[in-house]
Amino acid sequence: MAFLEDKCTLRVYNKEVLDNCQAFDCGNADLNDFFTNDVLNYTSELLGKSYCFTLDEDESVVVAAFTVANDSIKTFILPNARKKKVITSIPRQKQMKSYPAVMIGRLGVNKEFRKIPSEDKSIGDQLMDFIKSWFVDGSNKTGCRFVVVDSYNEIAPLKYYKRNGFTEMFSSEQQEKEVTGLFETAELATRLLYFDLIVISK
Amino acid sequence: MAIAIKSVPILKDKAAVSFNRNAKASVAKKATIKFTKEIAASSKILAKAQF
Repeated sequence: MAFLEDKCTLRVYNKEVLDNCQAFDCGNADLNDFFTNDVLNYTSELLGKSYCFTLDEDESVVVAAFTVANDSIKTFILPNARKKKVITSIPRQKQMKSYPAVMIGRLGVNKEFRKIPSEDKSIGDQLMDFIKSWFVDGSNKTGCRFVVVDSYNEIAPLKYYKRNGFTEMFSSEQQEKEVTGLFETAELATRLLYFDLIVISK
Repeated sequence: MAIAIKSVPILKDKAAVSFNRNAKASVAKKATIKFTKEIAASSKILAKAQF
């Protein structure tokens, strides 16, 4: 994590950052729009909290930014044999589980810093290592089993998350559309992926 | 306005079965990815952070 660790400082992405830093450009119009126009609203409405890494040698440069929010993954299974009896109101055992999670709502790396030749890992990979570490750190105030992300349904971001150990939550786009209530013909703009923090060794 | 951040829907049927199965399988792989170096770096980042 050398570059982010040695040459950057983690800050809350707030009005001070917006006022004093150069416009953040990660090469994605939607992300740039979020980190310019929506980020403060998300924070003030307590929907997510955003952070950034600024460059130590020039604090007006935002190297990377991300937004996290508390979330959970809930599963509900009604055994097949019982499904037919649902309409008769016969008491039945449902299998419900809820796992605590943190959602990465937005994540972007300044396009000028994506790959630094002297670094073993890209800044994006360093950032993901930091986020995972942060949520297994002993000082973390809450339990968190999974990191979840709603990635753009595009080759590069999906490749990035999979390289970092994330798994698609749904086996197919079709299944994801059904569960999220989209029409079969609708475009799936984002895909949910998760990483299980339990595999990490401290 | 940017695309809204989607929350995780309740997983049902096949999606729920598959997710629970993977979560259970991961428990068997508990602490198998060594992250000592990354966690140490993360602690330094947090110590230096300006919150």
